[in-house]
Amino acid sequence: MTLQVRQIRKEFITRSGSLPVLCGIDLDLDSDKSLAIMGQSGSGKSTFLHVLGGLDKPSSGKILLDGLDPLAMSETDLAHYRNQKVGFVFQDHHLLPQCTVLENVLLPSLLGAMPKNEVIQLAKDLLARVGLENRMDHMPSELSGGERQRAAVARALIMRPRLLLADEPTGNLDKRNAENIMRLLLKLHEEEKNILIVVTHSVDLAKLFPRVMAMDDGILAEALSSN
Amino acid sequence: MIDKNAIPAIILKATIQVRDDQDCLVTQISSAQVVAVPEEFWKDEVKSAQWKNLKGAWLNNQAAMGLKISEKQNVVLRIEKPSAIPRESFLGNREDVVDSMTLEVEKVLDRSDKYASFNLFPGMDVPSTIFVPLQLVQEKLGVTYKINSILSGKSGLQDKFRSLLTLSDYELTFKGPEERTLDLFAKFDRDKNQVLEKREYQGKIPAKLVPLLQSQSGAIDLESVRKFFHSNRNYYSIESSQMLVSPNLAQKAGNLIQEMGLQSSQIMVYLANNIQEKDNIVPYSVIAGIDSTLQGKLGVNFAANERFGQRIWFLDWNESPLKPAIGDTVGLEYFLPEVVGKPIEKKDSFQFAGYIPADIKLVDPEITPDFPGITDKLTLDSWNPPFPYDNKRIKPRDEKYWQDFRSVPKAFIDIDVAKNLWGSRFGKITSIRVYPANAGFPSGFAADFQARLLNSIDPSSVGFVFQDLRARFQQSSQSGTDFSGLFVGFSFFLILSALILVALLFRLHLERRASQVGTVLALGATQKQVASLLLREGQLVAGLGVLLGLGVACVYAIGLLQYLKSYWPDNSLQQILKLHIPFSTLCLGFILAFLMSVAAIFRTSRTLVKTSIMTLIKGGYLDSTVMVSKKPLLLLINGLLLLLLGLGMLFLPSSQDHELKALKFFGAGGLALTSGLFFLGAFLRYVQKIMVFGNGLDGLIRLSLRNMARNKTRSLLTAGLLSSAAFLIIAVEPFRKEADVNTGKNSGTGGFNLVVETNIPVLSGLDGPSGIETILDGVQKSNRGNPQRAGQQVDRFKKVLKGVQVYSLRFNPGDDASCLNLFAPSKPRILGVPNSLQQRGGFLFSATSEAKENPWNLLDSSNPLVNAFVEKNTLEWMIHSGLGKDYKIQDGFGKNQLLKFAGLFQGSIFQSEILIGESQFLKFFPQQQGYQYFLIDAVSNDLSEIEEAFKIGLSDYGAKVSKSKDLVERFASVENAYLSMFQGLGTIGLLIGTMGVAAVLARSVWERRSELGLLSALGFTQGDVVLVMLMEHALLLFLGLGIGTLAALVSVLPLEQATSTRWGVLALLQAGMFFFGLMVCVASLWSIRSDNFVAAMRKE
Repeated sequence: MTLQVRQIRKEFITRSGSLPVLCGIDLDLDSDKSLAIMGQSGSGKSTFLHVLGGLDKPSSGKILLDGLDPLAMSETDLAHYRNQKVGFVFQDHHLLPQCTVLENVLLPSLLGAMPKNEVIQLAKDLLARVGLENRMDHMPSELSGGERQRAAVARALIMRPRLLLADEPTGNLDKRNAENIMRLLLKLHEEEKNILIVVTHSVDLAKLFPRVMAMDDGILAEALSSN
Repeated sequence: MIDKNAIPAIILKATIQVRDDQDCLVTQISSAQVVAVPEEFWKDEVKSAQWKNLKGAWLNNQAAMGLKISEKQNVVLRIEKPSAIPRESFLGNREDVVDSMTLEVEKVLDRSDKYASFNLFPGMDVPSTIFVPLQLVQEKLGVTYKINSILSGKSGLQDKFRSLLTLSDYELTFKGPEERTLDLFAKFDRDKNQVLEKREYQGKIPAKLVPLLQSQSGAIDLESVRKFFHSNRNYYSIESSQMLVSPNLAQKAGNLIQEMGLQSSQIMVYLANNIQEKDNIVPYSVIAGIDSTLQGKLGVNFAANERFGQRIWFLDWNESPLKPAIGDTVGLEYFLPEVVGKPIEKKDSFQFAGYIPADIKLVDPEITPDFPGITDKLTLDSWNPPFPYDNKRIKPRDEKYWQDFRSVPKAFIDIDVAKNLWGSRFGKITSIRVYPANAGFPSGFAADFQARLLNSIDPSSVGFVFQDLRARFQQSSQSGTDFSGLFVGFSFFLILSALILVALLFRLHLERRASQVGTVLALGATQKQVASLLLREGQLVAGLGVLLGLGVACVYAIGLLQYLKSYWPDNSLQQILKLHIPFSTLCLGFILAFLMSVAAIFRTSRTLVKTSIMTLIKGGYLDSTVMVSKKPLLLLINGLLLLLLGLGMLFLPSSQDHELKALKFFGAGGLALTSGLFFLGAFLRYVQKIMVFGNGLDGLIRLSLRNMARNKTRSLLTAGLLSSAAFLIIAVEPFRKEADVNTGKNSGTGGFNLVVETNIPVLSGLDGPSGIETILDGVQKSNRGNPQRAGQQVDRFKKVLKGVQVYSLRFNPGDDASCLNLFAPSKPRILGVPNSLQQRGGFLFSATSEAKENPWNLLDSSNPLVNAFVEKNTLEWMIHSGLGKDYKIQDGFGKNQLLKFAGLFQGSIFQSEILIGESQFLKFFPQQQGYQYFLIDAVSNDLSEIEEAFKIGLSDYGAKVSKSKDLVERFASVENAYLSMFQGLGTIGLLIGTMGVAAVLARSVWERRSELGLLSALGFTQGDVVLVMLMEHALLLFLGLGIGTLAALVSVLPLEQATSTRWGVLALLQAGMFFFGLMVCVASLWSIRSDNFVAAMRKE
């Protein structure tokens, strides 16, 4: 098993008391597997993704990715973990407006140790693979919504992460663009052999994944099969 | 009477002492003001009544505090004795210079009493004043009915005053045969019976003259004398009670005589210690220099044979041991006419030319003016002259001559020779005789001549000065040091900073509301409507802000005044510096600040509403300032042009005008600063093109640079703020002065340890062993009642004064020209530098008009103008002139004289005065006698002992002793106080700049929190994120400060001060400002350190 999640719990302390968001989630995923998680707003999907990606800490539980326990890591190691092991695609592209598409893709590599030429080539390849080979010197403001999200996907993959997490990556896109992005994610997942977990509201898009789970009030359960 | 309300007064400087029971000095005020006035002076009835019949004195609070005494205690007043005959002439009295008055203090005038601050001279200090009844002072000084001041509340009294002057006010007498007749009887006719009995005239009138004065009855009565004088002495004689008729008055009289077509002759009478022919000597003889007119009347012609050179005629008296043949050499021994220290005897040789018959009809004793102690003595033996005199040398034949002829000269020489030998700065003749053109004088001649002579004399030429005190005080209060240009210049950068901050803050405020503005525009509002709405909003904020600012400005002004008062080397500012903020200034300040702020707000809001609606709705704000549309090359060219323009300003012709200098300084700095901002604009465009990639620090730096270039206007405004502040602080620093720690010969102290100033001149100076004797003698006198203590002190001081070298300088009083005086010096103090000091050299010169190994030699030159030295800062800021420039002063005769500034001291003790050579000084101010300024070069380590020796030894002269190092430090501290005020403006600028950086940083963190969250998500540690932000702002900080510093250097480097700039201090200052800014950045970033960026990102 590459990703093991055991009894992840997360509670938020509010004025009216403790609010459980994640209620003992268990999950196992092999390295080349993908998973779509569906659920209503506020069901805890994004929180679960942030916990997996080391952006948030659970109240209790355990996560192992390739034998690494991000929950036991120091802040610095955790940042390194995010940089090296995890790729994020958010609902909003979060491209830096002051950088070109290529520079945005290269951003995570600023912290790495890859040779410069190699990483630039890799970024260009990735942009070619997401269909932006002709837009790499453009500013984000000059791209369409779909193109920006594709650039964000390329940025998420630049460090060849073991875990690719996408939090409603198509939430701001039209149906056609949304499907394109989802297919692109799956295609790249297959090429990179990483673990892909996507959170989505769309049943149609979820159907593209071999495994779909549902989150309901902090409980993750297997959903209907893709078929 | 000049005016019924005019008050006669004697106002002079004196020393007030408190002495103990043994008449030893306890405390003293060396330069007190004596105001001797009648009761009419006091306009207050109570005071006037108290003043009547007062036998004591009143002190003002300042004097009482200085002397630490109260009412009913005694003070001793030491005043310079008036002397009609100049003390430095050989007939002047040099021994008895100081007069003393012991007075009981009857009253101490409170500080709030308007009379307590009575002062005729504008200055920083309220003088220590002693008020004494006029009559008391007149009696003590022996000058009954004489005064030296008239105080009047009326103006335009000059003509009236002039009409009331008589020749005696000019120390002149004008006597004809009638006046001389009456004088004779006034002197000798004790029983007033108009007959001189033998007992009355014997020994007083020359025996040879008696028969000529007697009437046929043998009596000397008024008529017979009158008859003799009218027939044999029919001339008028102009003489002076000062012995010598001043050259100025002699010239006026000469002109008038010529104008009236009269005959005249000039006479110069002198005293020879010896007339020698071979081995024969006649002691103490009157010699007369006479001109051709009188020679003709005596039947001799001195100029007949030029080849004999200086020729001399003897009066042919029977008992004379001198029997030279014509052509024989005759020696004359006499004292030099001007005496400094001990009289110096000189010998000259003459060719004997002949005998003049001892016909007293022709040669009268009145050729010699009256001189107390000589001409009033019955015998030669009883003479009591002020020069060394040995009555043992008197022989019976000499006494016989005195009985027969009295002051009839024994020898005669040519007037020109006499003038040459015995003329001095005080005059070259002793009398002018006026003879009628024809047989006799016309009736009314005497009155007419006197009136015309009086009319031709300008009263100011002899020191009668009308001073409009109110105008003088008002003029002087127009500060001598005009810093307005500098304040405006420095404030310009501060105002610029403040405006940039206003624009920046308003811009940040609008950026937050960009989407609101976009929505309002989308809903149909016009750009104009929205801009107007924003402007009104801004106006309200600006109005309130400016009002608040006015309050802060008042507090700041109070703070500045307090700062100046506390940094001033003495308490003088406490009394004169008061806060004065006219309402009109506040209104003007409000209007200007409000308008400028609104202009800045208007420009910002206009930029906002011109941004596309969609961009605004999305929360964006198009960076559409002037520079955005420009290409880097264009910006570079603009920057270069501005820099060249700024540098060009530095090469404008040098000027002494402060406004022009300030314009050059700030113009060049401002242009350099603006060009720096253009370069920064180009740089931002350049770094925008640097690709963001790489590993580790390299990549982070690239990202920081890109972030910096992201919002160029904001970055430029921030840099502009910082650069203005840095300019203010750095530009002032080179002017800051450290008192020269070097006390060597070529330093500001000239190697002198002490500077002594006296109130009463020390006639012979204090140079050499005789000077030390004067001091020790003074120590003795200062302990009059306690000989034991006197002896102990003399022994003690004798040791410490060994090896002490003193240089005495002449002094013409005037205004303090240094920066210690906030009033404009209209008549600066002038020092006369003796040759000995010129030869010694020393002191630090900033510049001289000619390169000389010893710059002091320049003081010798007076071709065509008299060279003068002055402290550089005094010249620049107080006198407002420059090296090589002319400067007009008024000499002792009220005539304008031109000086040329040939040397400028730097950081010297001579900041209050102008220095000229002693010989020139004596030409300009012949009436100034003795020395009042002394430079002390003490090898001994026991400086405080030496200081005490001078204080005690010269206490009767009212000595003020200062350590030269303290003086230099005092001057430097004042300059630094001013500079600190300017740097205070810079500090405010820096605070404004830092506030700007903090605001920009806070805004950056707020608007980019999702971006920071993303970086965290991408694996950036918080340290990495903070580092990126810090590098971005630190670089902006560095560039902003750097531009300001470079601009300041452009302004400063061409100045002379640059050479003495403490570059280390500047570097530290720069580093300090950078560090301070960095700390503000770190503090701002500290707040985001613990922020959860991801949470922020999620919120978005």
